[in-house]
Amino acid sequence: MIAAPAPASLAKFPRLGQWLDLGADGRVQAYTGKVDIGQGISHALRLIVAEELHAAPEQVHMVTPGTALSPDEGVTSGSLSIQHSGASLRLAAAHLREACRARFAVQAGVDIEAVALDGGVFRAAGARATYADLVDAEMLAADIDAGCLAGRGGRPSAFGDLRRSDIESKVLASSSSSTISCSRAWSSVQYSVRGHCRPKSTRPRGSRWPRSCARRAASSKSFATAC
Amino acid sequence: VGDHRQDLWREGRLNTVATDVCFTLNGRDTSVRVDPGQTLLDVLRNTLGLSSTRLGCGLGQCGACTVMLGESAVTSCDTPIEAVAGQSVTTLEGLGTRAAPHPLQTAFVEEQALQCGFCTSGLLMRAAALLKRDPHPSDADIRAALEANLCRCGVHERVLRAVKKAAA
Repeated sequence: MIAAPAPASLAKFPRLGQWLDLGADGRVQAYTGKVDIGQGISHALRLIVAEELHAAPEQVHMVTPGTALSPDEGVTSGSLSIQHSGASLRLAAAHLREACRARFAVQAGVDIEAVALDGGVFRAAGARATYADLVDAEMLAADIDAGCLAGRGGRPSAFGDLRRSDIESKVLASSSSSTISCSRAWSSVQYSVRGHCRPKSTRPRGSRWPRSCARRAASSKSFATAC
Repeated sequence: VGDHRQDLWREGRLNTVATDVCFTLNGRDTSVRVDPGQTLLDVLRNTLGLSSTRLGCGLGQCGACTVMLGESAVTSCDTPIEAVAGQSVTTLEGLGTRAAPHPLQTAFVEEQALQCGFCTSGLLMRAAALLKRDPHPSDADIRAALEANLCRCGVHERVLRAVKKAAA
C-alpha cells in the first residue's frame, strides 16, 4: 500500500462507476474528463488502466468524454491530464482489480492470496473468470478505496514502449476520424484569410504582431538548442 | 461584405478576376481557378482539399505549412499561388503511401516522432528536401535544416533520431 494524496478529480467523483464500468463487448470501459485533442492522452490513460488491471491494453476501451457520461475534470491542457485523470483512473482500476479478486476468491472458495491474475483473467483451483464475469452494479456503486493501490516495487511500466495507433495516419496523411475533424476546424479558421494576399489579415484589426515574436518563439523551442 | 473587405477594396487589393494556374501537384498535372492573392496553402487546403499541410503562424516563420517546390522546401502560407505556375509541388499526400511509405515516414512511425502531429507534415517535407539535396546529412546538417520548423510538443530528439534513421 502506498500513501499518496487523493487526486482532486477523485474527490469530486468518488464512485468507482464514475470512472470504470463494463461495455457490452465485455471490455472494461474507462471514463475521463480529459479530451484526446490529438496529444495521445487516451493512449496514455488506457495504458495506466490496463497496467493496474493486469490486462492487455486492447481489453480497455477509453470512452470519448461527454457531458452526460464523463467526470468533469475542467480543462484539458498540458501534463495535468496524467496527474489528474491518470492518477484517478489508476486508483479506480486498482480498486476494481482487488474487488474482483476478492469476489473471485469467494466464488472459487480459496484464499485471496491463492488467486492468480494475468492477461485480465483470474485463476485459482482450476477455476477462471474475467472482469466481465465478476463486475456488477453493486461493485461499481462503491466509493473508490485508494488503499487498493499496490506499489510497483521498482518494476517498469509493462507497456511503456507500446506504439500509439494514431501516429501512422498522421505521418502517412491518410484520413481517419481525428484528421477529418481537425481539417474541418481549420478550414473554418482559414475561411477568414481566404483571398487576401497576406495572412496578416488573420490578426485582429488594429493589433500588432511583430515578427520578433515569432523569432523569440523560434529561439525558445528550436532544433539547434534541443539536447 | 464586412469592414475588412471594404478596406481591401479601398486599398485596391480586392480583385474579382479569377485566373487559372497550372502546376504539377504530387506528380499530377493540376489546373485550378484561383483568386489573385491566394496563397499556395489556401489553394491546397481549401480549393484542393489536401489537409495535411497546416496553417501555423501565417508568416512563413513556423514551418508547419512547408511543402516541396521542385526539390526545395518552401513555406506555402506566404507563397503566392501564381509563383508555382509551371512548377512541381509535393505535399505530404505525395511523399509516400501506406503501401509504399517514404523512409522518413517509416522512421517517424518507428521513433513515434510526434505528439500532437500538427508540425509533422512540415517537418517531413523539410526533411525530405534535405535528403534530396544530401542523402547522408550530418547531425549538424539535420539540426540546421529543421531549425526552420517549430514544435511546441517538444519531440525534437525523436525527430532528429527519425531523420537520421531515414538517412542511414
